Amino acid sequence: MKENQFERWHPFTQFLYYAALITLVTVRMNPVIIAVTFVSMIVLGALVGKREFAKIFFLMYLPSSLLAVIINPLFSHEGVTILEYFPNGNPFTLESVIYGAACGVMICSVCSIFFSFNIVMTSDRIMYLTGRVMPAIALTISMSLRFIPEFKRHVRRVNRSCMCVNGNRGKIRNGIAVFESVVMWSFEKSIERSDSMRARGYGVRRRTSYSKYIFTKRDAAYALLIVSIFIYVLLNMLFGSIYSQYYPYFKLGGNVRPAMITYVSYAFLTALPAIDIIKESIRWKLLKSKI
Amino acid sequence: MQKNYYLISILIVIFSMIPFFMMFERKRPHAREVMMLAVLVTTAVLSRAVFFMIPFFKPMLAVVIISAVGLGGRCGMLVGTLSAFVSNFMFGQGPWTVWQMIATGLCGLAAGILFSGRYRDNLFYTVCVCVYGFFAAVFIYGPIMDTYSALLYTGHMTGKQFLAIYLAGLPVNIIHGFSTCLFLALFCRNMERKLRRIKIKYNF
Repeated sequence: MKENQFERWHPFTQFLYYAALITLVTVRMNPVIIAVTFVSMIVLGALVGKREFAKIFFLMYLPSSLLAVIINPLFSHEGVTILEYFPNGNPFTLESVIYGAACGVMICSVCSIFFSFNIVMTSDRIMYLTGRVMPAIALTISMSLRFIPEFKRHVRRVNRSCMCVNGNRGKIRNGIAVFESVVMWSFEKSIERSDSMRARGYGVRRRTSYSKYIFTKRDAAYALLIVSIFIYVLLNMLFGSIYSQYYPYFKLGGNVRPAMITYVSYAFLTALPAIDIIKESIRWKLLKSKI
Repeated sequence: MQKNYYLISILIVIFSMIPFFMMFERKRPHAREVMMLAVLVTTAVLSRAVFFMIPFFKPMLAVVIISAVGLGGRCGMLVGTLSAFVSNFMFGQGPWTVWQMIATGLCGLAAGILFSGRYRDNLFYTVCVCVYGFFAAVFIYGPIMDTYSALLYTGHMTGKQFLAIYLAGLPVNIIHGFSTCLFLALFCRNMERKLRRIKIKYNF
């Protein structure tokens, strides 16, 4: 499949984007921030995942967030606006409903963030990022990722010969025999392989790694943009113009103009990949129509 | 001010795993160790993948415990955390990844502390490991994952909510415990013997 524009970003920039999003969405549970993330993550999910996203969104994410909306008022009785009383005498408050709804939408948006994360940040991108900080751990992970298909192939092979030699002795007994044989084979093979690694100079110097990612000027610009908006919004959320509280009563505070600026800049941050993808596809259409 | 434990809890979990990774890095591990670890991680991941059709019936924890018994607590911790991480490349990464990592890692660590070096190849110790596997799934792995879902769904803590979620998770955890126990009973002795053989044969 063709890579879209967001998937062509440098892994580091993508990681910054996701880290900024997750932090800002969860740190104070500001309802406007959550709503903005929700909308832009649906757009990004639809752009990146297409039909698959729609399926998982309606079947998995929405029901599980509805659960949060229902659970919270049942257990939390804080808040001053009492709507009704439960049969056991506990109050049913407006604030707990609002909080539950915010929580539900937050769960939904965090899940959607991870949906696009799973598509965009492929395992080799994550390996590239962790390999810088923890080379041995990264090597272990990439080795085991490489072993998975090899193991599968070998399991199939052993299974066939096991059936041939012993006949069908039932799934469980066959399974155990195959499992043990494969484990032993893989141990021996791995030791052999590690000796070969050592012979070729593993551990002599720092390991270099193959990577096809180039940190371009565009990536630098995006990274700078993401970091500066992140710091601006975070500071505003912690000390400044945007303010929200759920208990004892729901309140969304702050001066209107600086708050609006903060929200709009946050919306720009979340929409950055979507803008990039859409911009590119429009440009492509225009170029095509000229020909 | 509404306190939100969601982000804080994830950060705590991540930072509590870093020392183990750093210890491994600092040691400048031998290629054999890295390979051994990779094989154990792959075995654990595939064992989860094979049974993914049956919910909560996962032998992954059993493989982690066996490797901890054979090779020690630190190795168990690494196998646990890494296999949770790698298997989520197949099942999808998410905020649950870090929780699964610490949960399986801790089960491995505790198994290593309890049995590593002490394990003898007889019925008594095998039964001990099986019993430990059940309790690890029900009382270590289960509660950690339930805490994750409690924090996800409510965001702030009250004792009642937690109790309700732990109780709701109990049947699932018991199924998981039984499956772990079963797989330990099936594979523990043979796998441990194989690990020991490798250790003697290649001397590490």
